[in-house]
Amino acid sequence: MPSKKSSANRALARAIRSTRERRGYSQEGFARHVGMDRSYFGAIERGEFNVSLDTLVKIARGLGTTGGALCSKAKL
Amino acid sequence: MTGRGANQATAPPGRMDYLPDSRILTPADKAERRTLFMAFGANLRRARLSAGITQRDLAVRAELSSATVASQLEVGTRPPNFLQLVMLGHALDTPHDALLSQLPVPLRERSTRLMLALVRKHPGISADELANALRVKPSYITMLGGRLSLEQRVIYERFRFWPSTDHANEL
Repeated sequence: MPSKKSSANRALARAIRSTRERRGYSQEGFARHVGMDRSYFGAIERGEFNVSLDTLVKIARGLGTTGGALCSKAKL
Repeated sequence: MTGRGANQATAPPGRMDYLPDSRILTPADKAERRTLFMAFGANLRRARLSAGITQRDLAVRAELSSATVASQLEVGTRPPNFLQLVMLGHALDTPHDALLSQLPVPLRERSTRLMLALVRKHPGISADELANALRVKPSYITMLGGRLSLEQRVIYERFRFWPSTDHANEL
């Protein structure tokens, strides 16, 4: 069920984006903050990637939260 | 969702310009990733045993391709991706927080934070002094300092570090 997969990734992407914006980071600034390629991070925020655990943890820590909190925010 | 599909970190079609982390990470980074995956695996195993199910049951419920995958996730030889994480949480009826709790903070993240704090406190601090303070090899400081310098978070000249005025707030 591709739609189910992509909806989960999109839900996570929305949670990441809204948390990032609330923290006052630009997309580029945040990518630099966590040592990630800007275009890669942009693709994550568009829900185009099924991120691995370490990437999820890296983003969560950069946002000052946890992977579990991001999942909760995404209502998964 | 098929188990096989959820087992692979996927890139969008035609977007091959992103290098997978595993190809650009240093051995130290890879070791840290492994530690992270092992900590996750321990959480997963604990949750599965609490649920009273076998790895085979878990594989079926979470739509993993085989019980071997469940085993690999538990011992940390296979990293879970986000969709697997979601499926595992649902399969075990466990909050994601439980699966993601008490994961180790990577050495590089700890070192970066400490190094930035020390550079701010002692402008002009040497690489050797930083290495002693952080209890790492000087070559690690050189690598980390080079990266922070490229990101313009510190100024690195003649083996000494100064805080960058552009990023003074984060130091």
